[in-house]
Amino acid sequence: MRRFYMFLLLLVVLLSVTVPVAAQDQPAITVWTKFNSENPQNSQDEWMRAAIDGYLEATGNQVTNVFQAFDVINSALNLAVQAGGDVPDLSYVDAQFLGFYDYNGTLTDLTDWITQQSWYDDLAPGALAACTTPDGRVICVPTATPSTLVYYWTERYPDGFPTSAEALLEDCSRLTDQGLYALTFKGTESFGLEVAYHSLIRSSGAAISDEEGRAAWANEAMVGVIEYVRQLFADGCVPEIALASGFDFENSFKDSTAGAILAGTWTYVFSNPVTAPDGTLYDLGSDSILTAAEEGQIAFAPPLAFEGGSPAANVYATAWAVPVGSPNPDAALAFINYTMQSTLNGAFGAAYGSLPSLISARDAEIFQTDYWVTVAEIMDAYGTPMPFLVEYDRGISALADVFARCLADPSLDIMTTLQEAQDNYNAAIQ
Amino acid sequence: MRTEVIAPAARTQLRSGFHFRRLVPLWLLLPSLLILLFVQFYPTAYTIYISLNRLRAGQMIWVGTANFERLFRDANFYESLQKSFTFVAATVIATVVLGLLVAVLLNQRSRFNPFYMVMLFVPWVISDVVAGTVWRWLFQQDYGLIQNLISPLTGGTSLYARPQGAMLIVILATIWRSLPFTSLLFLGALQHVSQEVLESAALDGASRFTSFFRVTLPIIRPTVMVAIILATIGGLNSVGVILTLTGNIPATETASVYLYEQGWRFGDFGLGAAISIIMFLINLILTLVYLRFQREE
Amino acid sequence: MVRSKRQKQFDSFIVNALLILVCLVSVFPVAYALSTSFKGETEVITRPPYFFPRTWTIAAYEQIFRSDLVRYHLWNTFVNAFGASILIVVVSVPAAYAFSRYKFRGSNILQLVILALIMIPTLTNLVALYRMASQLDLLNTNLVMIIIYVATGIPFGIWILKASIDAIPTEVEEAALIDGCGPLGVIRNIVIPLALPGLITTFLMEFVFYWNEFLIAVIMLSNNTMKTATVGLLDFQRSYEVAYHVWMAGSIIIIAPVLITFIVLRRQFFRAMLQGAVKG
Repeated sequence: MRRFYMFLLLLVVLLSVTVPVAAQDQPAITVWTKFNSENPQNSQDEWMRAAIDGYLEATGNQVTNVFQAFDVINSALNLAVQAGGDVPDLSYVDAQFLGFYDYNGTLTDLTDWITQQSWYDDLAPGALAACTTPDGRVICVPTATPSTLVYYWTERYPDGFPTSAEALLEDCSRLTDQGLYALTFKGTESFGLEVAYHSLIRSSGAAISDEEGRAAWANEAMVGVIEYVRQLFADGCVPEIALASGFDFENSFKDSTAGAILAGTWTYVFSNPVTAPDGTLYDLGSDSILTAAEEGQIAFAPPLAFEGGSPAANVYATAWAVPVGSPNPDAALAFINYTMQSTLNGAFGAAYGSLPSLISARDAEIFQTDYWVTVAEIMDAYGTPMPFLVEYDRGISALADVFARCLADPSLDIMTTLQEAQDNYNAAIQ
Repeated sequence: MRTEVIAPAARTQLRSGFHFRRLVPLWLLLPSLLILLFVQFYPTAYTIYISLNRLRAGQMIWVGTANFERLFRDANFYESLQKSFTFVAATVIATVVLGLLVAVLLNQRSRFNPFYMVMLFVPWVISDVVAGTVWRWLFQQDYGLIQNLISPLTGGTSLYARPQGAMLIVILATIWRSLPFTSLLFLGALQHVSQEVLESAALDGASRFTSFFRVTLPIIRPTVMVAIILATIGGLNSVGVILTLTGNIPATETASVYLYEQGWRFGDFGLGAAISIIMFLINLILTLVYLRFQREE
Repeated sequence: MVRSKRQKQFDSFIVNALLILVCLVSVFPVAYALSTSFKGETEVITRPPYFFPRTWTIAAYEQIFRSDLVRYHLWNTFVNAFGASILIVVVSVPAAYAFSRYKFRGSNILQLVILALIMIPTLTNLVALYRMASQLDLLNTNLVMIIIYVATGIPFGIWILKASIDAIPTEVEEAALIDGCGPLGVIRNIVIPLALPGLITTFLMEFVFYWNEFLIAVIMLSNNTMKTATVGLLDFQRSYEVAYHVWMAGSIIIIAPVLITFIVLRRQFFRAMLQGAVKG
């Protein structure tokens, strides 16, 4: 019997020896990002890898990057802090989660530190605002300011993309007659709500949240938005795949069966190769869409909005943040400082598909092309902050679910569904 | 049976010391029981505790039954239970009926062609995540092979982007994955149905169909019960196939997916634990019903 | 009631035709995944879709072999699934033997409880387990995965193994006991060799189950170097890029090892299952 227990013990010990593959070499700092630097697939990943290598060369300090999926990284960081899990030294965060982080006390206050940095005065005011809580504390360091806009195939819209949602319906009937879609977008999940519906909602005058971060969705304007999107689907203006999960909806823009896509400034990084209406194939990785634009096949327009309202170009910020419980906050701040050098910050913007957060970095030649000039114009004219919801992901997902439900089932009463979701969210944050 | 079996143990007892001999079964069971105690029973009790708390900034805050009250006011939760019910009912009925059919077919043959058996068992070795990924590709709206075959029938609309369609694909993928094991369970049971019983039924003039329903089915009823209960509980707790096939869309948000979302996406541990308790009770009731049936046999 | 020869031939034809149909349905999705994995980036997005690649390419596999799926996840999956399955068998054999051969107070109740544990899934315990693991600093380790896998696999292991130990005649054991073997000696020298098909079946079923396990892994593992293959595959789908040929190559890579294991051990598995290893 004793031999049996010795054997059991031995097995357990043996198995635990195989365990610490990652824990062997104690890294200087661990950082969570949505970039896969170990196995780069796109320019964002490449940037992260270069930054880590450059930092090691410049300072001799090791940075270990832990890749997290883009749609879970903010929740996962909060969960790690709340449940006392593996908290990283430093993390990538999306600034639209600011209220959520503030409410949960997830992030360290960086106000005193950031004001002393040499690059502080160089920060674009909008970028800094995205990281500043209502009571004036800075809890993250903005690195880039992505936004939203429309990409369209010029051959599908010879007179330019319609300036209002109402006018789009006419183009839609013209395009559906040719067996084409007017546009494509992600119609579900929080991504869809931010990129596709936010501008429609704002321009209709509908509210998303009140000052206390509670939901305020159940209003006539919001019903009008959903009815409009219902019509888009009913008329066949948008491929049905827009209502599924994932990014399959992009395909109809890539092969130009859809005339336009409701996009982010970063979409060109991922959406490739593309085929123009005349059959030209652009298979140049991240440069595919930009090259097509230079050749006049693709053009850009402000986000889709209703007549009488202003389009809303999302004011996003990608940022660094130090979570509460970070084992080594000083080393984390040193790495932030390194990445905030103007050239590196500019390189990040270019790699991410966004204007960088430092004004000096925006002067780089790469941001003087038509694309970036248009993006800057749209952001200046129509920049709109993201809604303030204390449980951002839960709130945005819940509203996105209302859209998904009402679009999938045209007989569903919109107001009732909105009211239910709103009550439910407000009960959850009490 | 029991009395014969006890003999060897009794002899050990004669040889060993008094204390040890009575404790032999305990020693043999100890490793299993310790593991189950710490990793099965204790967490269940701990879940009850968490369900009465709220987690904020790493601290548990006692809130009493507030989580349950929120849950019972939540229309989405009832809807998710409904979806779980649809999903489970459809998969269980189809799996059991088809499983019986396949088992009967296989039982017609005196030798089992290993080639057939391996082919038939391919879905069993496949993870729910892989199955979800593969089926998603088959029904992809633009480039899915099956979607393209059926689109003339559905008037060109995509199954995948419609609520009932999304649920249907999830159900089909689940049936596909659970059919082999269920068939094998039934085949094992059918092999134990004695040939004489069937022959005497045939002599009485029973057709093959009546003899299946009157004679064979009652004999293998315990196995059918096992298959039903395993499929039910598997279905109630299925997450992987849904997450990969249809993602977070409301149409396929069953109670298990709802729990996953609340607990780990939104970090609401208290509510997650409350949902866990409800699902635990549902599972427990089903299990007790099953054990009762078994005792009656 | 003797059926005519022609009738029998017709029956056999129908049976074979139906079985072939079932086999085709079973294999088709995997076969299509396999053929897709050899297509190129532009061929997967060609309308209308077709089965075989026009030009065969291993580009998708090149991408998969560079990815974390092959670099870390498959190895983690193997360590967790293999470690857990072995431990489950090692721990379950004595327990099943105790239930099968000894009569003691509480034996029946304990067996019922263990049977009930099979029916109660891990999902409902995961909130508590996550919290426990994070407090013990065990998140993102293979160890925590193995511990939970073992705990969830033991009830099923005991259930199957008890059935195969019940089927062994007791005379040999009696002789061995007279020769002075202890209970563990009996298990090692007599029970294990005689119940080998049952042991292999248990191992195979647990291995397949935990190789494919997803829910516990996706909750306990956030660190990319510690993730298992199923979680890695979901990560592919969660990225911005839609690349079905790469996802299919990843799926095939995950299926292959476990399918081969199954083919190697299939004889013992089918024998044990058809003898009624899992019964009501």
